[in-house]
Amino acid sequence: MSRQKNQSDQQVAQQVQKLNEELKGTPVSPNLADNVQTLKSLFDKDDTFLVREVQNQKDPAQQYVVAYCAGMIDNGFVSENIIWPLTYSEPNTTEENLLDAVARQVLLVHNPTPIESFQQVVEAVTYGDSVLFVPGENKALTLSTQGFPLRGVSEPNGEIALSGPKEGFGESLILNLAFLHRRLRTHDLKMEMRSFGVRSRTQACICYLDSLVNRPALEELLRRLDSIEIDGVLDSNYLNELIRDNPLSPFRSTGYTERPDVVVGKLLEGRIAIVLDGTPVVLTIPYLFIENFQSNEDYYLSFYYTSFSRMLRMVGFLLSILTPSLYLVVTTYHYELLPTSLLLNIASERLNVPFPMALELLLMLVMFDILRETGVRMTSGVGQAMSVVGALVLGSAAVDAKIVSSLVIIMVALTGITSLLVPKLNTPTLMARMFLFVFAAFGGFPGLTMGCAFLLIHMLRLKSFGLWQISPTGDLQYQQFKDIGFRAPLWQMRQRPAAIASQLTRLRPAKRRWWN
Amino acid sequence: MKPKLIAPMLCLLLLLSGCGNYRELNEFDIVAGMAIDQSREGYKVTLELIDLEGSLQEGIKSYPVSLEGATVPQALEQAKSKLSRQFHYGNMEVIVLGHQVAEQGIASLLDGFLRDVNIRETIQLAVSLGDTAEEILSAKGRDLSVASYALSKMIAHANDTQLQPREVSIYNALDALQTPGKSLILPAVKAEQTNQEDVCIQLEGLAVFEQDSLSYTLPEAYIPFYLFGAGRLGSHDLAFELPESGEKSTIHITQSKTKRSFWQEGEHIAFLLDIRAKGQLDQAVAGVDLRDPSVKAALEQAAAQALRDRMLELLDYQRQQGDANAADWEHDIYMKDGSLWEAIESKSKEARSGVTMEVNVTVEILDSGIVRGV
Repeated sequence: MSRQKNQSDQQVAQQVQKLNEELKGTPVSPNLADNVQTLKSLFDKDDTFLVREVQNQKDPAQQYVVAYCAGMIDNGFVSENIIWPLTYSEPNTTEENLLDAVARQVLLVHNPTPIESFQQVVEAVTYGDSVLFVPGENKALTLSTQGFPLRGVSEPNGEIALSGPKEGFGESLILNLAFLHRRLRTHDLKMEMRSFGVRSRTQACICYLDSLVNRPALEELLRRLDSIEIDGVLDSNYLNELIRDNPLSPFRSTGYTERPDVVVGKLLEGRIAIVLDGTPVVLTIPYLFIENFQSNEDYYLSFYYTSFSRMLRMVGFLLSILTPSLYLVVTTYHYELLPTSLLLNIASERLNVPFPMALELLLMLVMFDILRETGVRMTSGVGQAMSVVGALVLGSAAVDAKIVSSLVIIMVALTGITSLLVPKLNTPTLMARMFLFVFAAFGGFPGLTMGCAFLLIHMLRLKSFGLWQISPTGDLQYQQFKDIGFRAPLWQMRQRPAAIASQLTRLRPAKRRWWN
Repeated sequence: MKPKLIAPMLCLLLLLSGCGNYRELNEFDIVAGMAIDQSREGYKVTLELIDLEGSLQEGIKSYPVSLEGATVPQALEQAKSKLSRQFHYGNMEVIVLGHQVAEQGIASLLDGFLRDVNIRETIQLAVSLGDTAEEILSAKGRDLSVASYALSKMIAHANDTQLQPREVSIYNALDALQTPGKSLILPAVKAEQTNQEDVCIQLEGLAVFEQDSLSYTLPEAYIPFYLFGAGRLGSHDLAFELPESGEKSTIHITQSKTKRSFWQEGEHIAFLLDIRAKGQLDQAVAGVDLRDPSVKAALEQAAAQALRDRMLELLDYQRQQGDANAADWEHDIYMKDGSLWEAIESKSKEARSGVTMEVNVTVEILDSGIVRGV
């Protein structure tokens, strides 16, 4: 079986290599007919691929071929700025070759780029560019003619801010990069293009500020990206799972966001952003654990309010993972911890409930997750109705039928609501909650303590591209704590995070603003 | 051993050892209080159990269950033949000892309670002044239906307002029994018929023990003066009469310090209680000008005399009850004069009861308006 598997893996790898090498090794021909033939054989059975032959009216001997994909180009632009000039203009080729003359004298497009191989032709055409073949030249020109439909700029649903910018990234790489350029108007912003996916050839851009970036992290990132071999990359999470530090940990080692202002903020701290074409989600590395509790509007609202909110999120995270376990522990192992009146209430409620407490809690936790998932997956109107009906039926009717006790409903509701406080930790919260629940069910408080110890050990060992996620600096410095548990006023945050911005740790000092 | 094997092995250890203690709440009968009486077999133990089914509809209710045996643990064993659930003692708040049980000696009972891992050391003790301790748990509180919880809260409230010695837990009691020269004192409680249907519990003084047997009960009215003597009184409203006019007044004493001292005159021991109390006039005499220092002094003197009289009355009462250790004077000697303690330790109770008790009281009125030093 493994021998067969190895052989089939080898065959696939050979096919892929052949595919890539063939195209790379196939140059553009000076003969237009050969080029057309190659194009038709490459895009055989692809009816959206079009080849337009253009003949110059003044010199009928001059013929051109323009290749593009229908639906991907701006038809009007192509007609007015490429086809029409090629038809009616006559380039002067006394001082330069035809290709350069056409590019500089005839075409009304920006940045025509010469290409040499058919792999580049395929990549250009499939991204909405048009490719112009000129007779007698062994190069072609890619012309930027994208006209495929794009989603408008809108605020990301998962990162709504009460105050601050409402822009969010879209699916177009170039437009996303434009968001960053507008906010960082400096030559220090570097944008290195890469492509991933053997068949999808998805474009990505590695963005960083050259004078601030964490060099070791950058080198490590590039090393990991270069090692990626995959058919196609459709979303940032593909890259995330292929480059993350601990592949089996529920905790992330890369950040993600759909907001340009967040990305710019992270770039200014020395982090690196990976912008991928076709997805609005941008990855940022390195990623510290505390970033799970940070929100973009922490810097757009008063530091008092945001400090309180941040602490609330941390408490919410703890409640979300510990509430079911603690409730289970005090009602099945350690009753003495409860005040007498509360114990009597709980005992009265549970009197005729047939299921053990652990099973009751587990059932309700699973039902809550089912309801939440239903609410997300269904269309908006139906999803909300289903959530409400589910909550009413499960909550109220189940209690009346004595299947569960009402306190369990309260605990599960508290757990669920607090988990929504920190959406970035959805997966770790779910896993940690169940992990601790099992320990609590089997071992009471000692078991829960053991589970917490294991979880803490795991979290303390988390790394993100060479940096410890939980304790990045190792030494206690006051300036490092001003954006962790609380958010200090901006005029007090005089240093970048030392572990990340290894090159320049001191911001331009902001003076205390006592105006009176 | 590889580190990767340690974590799973620890988890396995957890699985094998931990879940044996898993118990659902509906597998338990919650014990609110315990009463211990004498019976023909030995002891009759009455447990007040919480009625969970009834509690769901109409608030917390309870019912008594009586068990008999040669010893208390043996009596509790009988529960297996009467009840379907285990007892949960974690929320038991009070143990009431019957009068007869207290008179026979309670040291062995206290020792048994401390050895039992299920019974908390901080459970309150009380002595029933009625025929049995069972009638206390069969009654109810005036504002709480569960007698044990009502009694526990009453004791705690009295303790808060008057300081000790109301709240005495098992380990406190055993500690007092084993401390030389110290008398164990427990709150006394009785059940009283309030109307045709209701029998309610109320605190009724203190039960004073000699060694580990009940000696006598101190009426409720004497408790503040007992606390004066011990130097543990928080506040008290002292009523007094002006000697000349016979008019009554009240002083609210808020601070008191008691200096206890003793000295030996040959074979004879004298014990002095020097009480210095301060307070505000609660009910002043009409027409009295408190700005007059002589008037203030007269009031203070009258209050001091009244307090002294009550203190002497208390000491007399204790002597009449046969208490040779009134005001715990023996404990003071034990703590401060070891050689004297050795001399009196072996003496009989009658010989020790010849101690002369003197009381000196000073009262200062704080709200007269007179500036000190002027």
